[in-house]
Amino acid sequence: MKISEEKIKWKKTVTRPTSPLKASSLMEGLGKGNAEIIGIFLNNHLLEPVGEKHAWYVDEEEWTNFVKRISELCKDTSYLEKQAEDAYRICGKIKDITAKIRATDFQNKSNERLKDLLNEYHKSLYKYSFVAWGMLVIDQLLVGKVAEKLQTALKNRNKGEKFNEYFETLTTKVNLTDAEREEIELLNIKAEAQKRGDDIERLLKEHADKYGWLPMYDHDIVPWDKEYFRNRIISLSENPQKEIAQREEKLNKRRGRIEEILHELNDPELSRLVNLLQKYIILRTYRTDILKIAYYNMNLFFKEIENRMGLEGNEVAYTTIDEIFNFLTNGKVISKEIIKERMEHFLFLKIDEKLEIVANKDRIDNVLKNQLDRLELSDVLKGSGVYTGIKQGGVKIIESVKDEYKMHEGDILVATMTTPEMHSIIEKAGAIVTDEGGITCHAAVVAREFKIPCVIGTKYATKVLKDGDLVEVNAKEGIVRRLKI
Amino acid sequence: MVKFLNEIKEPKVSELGGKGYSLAVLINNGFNVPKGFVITSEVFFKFLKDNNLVEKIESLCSEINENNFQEKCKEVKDLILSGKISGGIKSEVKENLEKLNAQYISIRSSAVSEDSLKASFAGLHDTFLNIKTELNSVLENVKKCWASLFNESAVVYRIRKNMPHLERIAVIIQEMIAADVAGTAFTAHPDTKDRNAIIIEATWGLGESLVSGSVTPDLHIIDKKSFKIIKKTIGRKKTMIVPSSKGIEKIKTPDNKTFEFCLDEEAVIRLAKICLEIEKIFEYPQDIEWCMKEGKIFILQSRAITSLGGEEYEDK
Repeated sequence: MKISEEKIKWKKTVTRPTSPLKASSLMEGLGKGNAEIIGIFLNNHLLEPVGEKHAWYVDEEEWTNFVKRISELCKDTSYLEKQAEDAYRICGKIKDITAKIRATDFQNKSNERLKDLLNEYHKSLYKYSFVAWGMLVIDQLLVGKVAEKLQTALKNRNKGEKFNEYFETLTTKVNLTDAEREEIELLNIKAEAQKRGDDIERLLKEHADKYGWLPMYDHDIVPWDKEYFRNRIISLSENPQKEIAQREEKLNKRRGRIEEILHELNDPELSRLVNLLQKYIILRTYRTDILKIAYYNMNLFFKEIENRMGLEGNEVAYTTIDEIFNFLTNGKVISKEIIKERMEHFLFLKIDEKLEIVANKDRIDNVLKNQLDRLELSDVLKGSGVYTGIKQGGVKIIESVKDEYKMHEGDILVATMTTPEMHSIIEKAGAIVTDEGGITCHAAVVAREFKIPCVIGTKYATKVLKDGDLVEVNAKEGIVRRLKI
Repeated sequence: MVKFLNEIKEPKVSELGGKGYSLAVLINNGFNVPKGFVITSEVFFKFLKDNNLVEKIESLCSEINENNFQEKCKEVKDLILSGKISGGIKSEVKENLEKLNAQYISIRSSAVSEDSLKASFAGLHDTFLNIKTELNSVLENVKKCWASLFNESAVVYRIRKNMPHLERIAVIIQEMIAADVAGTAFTAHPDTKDRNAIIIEATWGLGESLVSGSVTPDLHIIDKKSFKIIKKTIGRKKTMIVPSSKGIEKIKTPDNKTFEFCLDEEAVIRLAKICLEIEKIFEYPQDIEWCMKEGKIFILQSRAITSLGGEEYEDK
């Protein structure tokens, strides 16, 4: 059986620019790398082309196990601390190895030697997958822990009403990301330029060497150079020193506020969690930055391989790491037509150990239809409107009458379909949204009778929305829109 | 007390329930309804009397409120299900089953209030499909239909609507049609209230998956005057309900059919014409359930559309 015919229940995660080289380099780690670290692997992946980017799907079952396992491990706060340390260590290693490769005189090396370097790079990404995906889960768990702890602490002091304000303060970033640091340094350069005229060539070059990687989400992106930064300087504040001081003050203020709150609540466990969360907040950016740094460092290396493969213009980004290994081993070159097709659009499917890249448009549609029912996930869901009206409210996913306890007056009932047993849940609903159904189905009939705005047949509402999401149900247009809070 | 649909000269809702009434009217007017008979609401009351249940149930009903309805429902249902059907009723049903001469049948509840304009009662009472024609199992299912008056959701609904709980209910027994395609038809748009439109929704297999909303059916909108199809939208019919040895079962729709129209234009228009005729009989826009087997259209039910605003209907 072709792997494109296998049936897997996919769960959408992130949408990112993703080249075949990028995706294929990370795959092995997602499987075996994760298995090594927590005993659970993420083997199955689907990357759906969405405009210039790709939506990344994982196997829902694997993902559930992955999340479950991490949740267990995270009951122990010291595990969270250890993981943060590990993450920095793993990222540091990727930086070192790729910097070393960058400094290598690879132009004069044999294919065999390049293969060793590539292997070293590939291996350095091995454990990275856990940094990327595990952290995604840990981060959320940690935010939950902080919320819980804060709630208890405030309750003990009879200050429950402060929760929202405190929670927001404690979970706002107070450390600089590399992108923010870059801007401050660029402001400094502007200040220097104002002092000593145009003589900033050396400073700009150093700056470009240090931060040229910032836009490099993928292999086929051109790094920023001296000229880019020179142009950007113009758009910066005319009073750079003042700007820097203001930014610092803002951060210090936030830090001070967090300290005040932690001091006031005087709960060592809460302080520990908040400090840890601040580390994870920085990791959110750092773990993406480290890949950018790696792609920047590997840029010339892959250019060399591109030349040797007879490719040009970043075409190398549209090969897979296995295809490169193959080429370096036995000289087998991938055809230009295939590369060209992939550059238009490609779908990436990996199930168990088998990988398939589909570049033909019709075949992509076919695979998607087979795998996802052409899942169109976004913040807007379309269906058929029943009983016109517009209602906003919090989502409650109702799988059966057992979920009645969740439902409060005015909540938005979201279900695959409704059943007569859900009657008392429906009565509380501000609006009804279903995955399936026509304009004469049970949900529609009941919605009309109770004059509840309803959008039926949205296909994916129960998959895309989750409890607590704020949505607007527009039954007139048959649209459900997720509102940003 | 048990009457064949095509032999009812003066149909009464109080005897036949809403569903039974409309089927009798349809058959009298020559529409193609699966043949069958009605166990009238009087039979239910005779059964209650035979088993000395009337007072018991009435007193239980008077105690029902929002807090205790679950236990009370169970109590009443148990009373009905453990009652004995008298020899007289039995032989009458037996006789009619023989006359019906169908291998498989459908057994549907037809409560007197369920199809009235104010209460849509969508799916609150039980229906049993593809039951083998065997006297004892038929009688058991008839009792289940009666007992379904006390389905929790039906009781809650009546509490909210301030309706009496112990009400008249008939049971309809019809030859089972193993439909290829089934669906609903509205002879006015239930939302825009456009009375020049006929809305037809269709899905593969039996219509239950469409009525419950477990599939997204094909949609056809037809102009009543010109019989032109104004709009058609293909559905997403991932599953279908089909007769099986277990009664009915839900199966996956074969891949090539999921996104394929169930009805061609000719069938859509033929159906729309039948529906318009039905509307003329009842003199009010209708919500119709239909099915199709080997190209032949059957009408399974017809009732007034509940969401159009009822003044016109109530005045009659």
